[in-house]
Amino acid sequence: MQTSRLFLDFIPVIIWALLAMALVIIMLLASWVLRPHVLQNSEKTSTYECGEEPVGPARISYPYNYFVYTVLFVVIDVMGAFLWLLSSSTLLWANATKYEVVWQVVVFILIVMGGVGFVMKMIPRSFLDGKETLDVYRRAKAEREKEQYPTGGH
Amino acid sequence: MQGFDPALFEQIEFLLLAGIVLVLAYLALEHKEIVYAAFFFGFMASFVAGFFLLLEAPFIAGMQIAVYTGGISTLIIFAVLLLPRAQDSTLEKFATPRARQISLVIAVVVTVMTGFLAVLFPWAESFNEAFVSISQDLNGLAQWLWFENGIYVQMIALIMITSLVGAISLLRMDKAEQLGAITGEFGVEAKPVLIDDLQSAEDGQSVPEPKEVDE
Repeated sequence: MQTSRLFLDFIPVIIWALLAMALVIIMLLASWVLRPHVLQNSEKTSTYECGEEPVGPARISYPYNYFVYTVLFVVIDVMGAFLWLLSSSTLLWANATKYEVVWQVVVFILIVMGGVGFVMKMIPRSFLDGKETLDVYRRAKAEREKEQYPTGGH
Repeated sequence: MQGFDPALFEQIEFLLLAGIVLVLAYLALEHKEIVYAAFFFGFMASFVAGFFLLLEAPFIAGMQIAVYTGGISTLIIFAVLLLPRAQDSTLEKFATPRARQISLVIAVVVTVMTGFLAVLFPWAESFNEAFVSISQDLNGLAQWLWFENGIYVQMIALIMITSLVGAISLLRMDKAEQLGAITGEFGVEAKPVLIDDLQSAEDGQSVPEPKEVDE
């Protein structure tokens, strides 16, 4: 029977997690004890905006373009996990493997970084640019005017 | 240690983890506030990492925490931020008792079928001894993944950049749609049209020459 188990090695982590949870609970309780308990009113329950009169709810829908940053984060996260596995091994030091693996790593990083670079180049173009909007607006206006005065005016 | 049975300890750990994961998964599905539900999903994902530690696979446990608790939870919270809020608005849909009953029946069927599969599947014979040993050894795992199966790592990189290119092309399509609205009939350029002869407009006859309102 196996006597030492991996899960038992992580008991310090569990103790730390319990301590962290206890800290949160203690802090919440302490602030509840220390703060003045006054009745709630509309001023207290309104959305917090520093020095401004709050307008509308706090949770609004943001432009979709920001979603790309999260996809970028997930991609870098997965890349980091793979590279972490590599860094915790001796593959890049052992003579038997280092010449083959280093090319794998270079190609992997180039592919992912190429994708990230492409996204960083394209994100500004994916936003609705004021200049382009104005351009389209002017062109549409000119076309409409041409339709209205086919003879070219007076 | 006398009378200490690791196998029994393992059972208790598994049952504890499974209970926590089930409760958190239920909360992630059913919590009224969608941001809280997203956070419960993140907690659930980190407790699932406990299963992988129990199976003595530390790399997968780390991957689970990094990708699911870190990445996918962020993705869900961002999606909540980006979408218009249906909660407490007229868009909100409430589950009818009938829909709840149907989903309960489906959940029970899936649970029973999964249970049968778990009992009947020959787990002991399905394990490959070579994989059991490398799952506990980071060096061996890195050797297996990067040295022996390096082409799959490159394929993962290609799949990841596909997601990036797809996201960008979706945004470009969205932008083209928004620019199209400006040139269209009901766009910013369209001005309200005054109809002088309301009767003829209602009869479906062509309105002579619509006048545009000056600003």
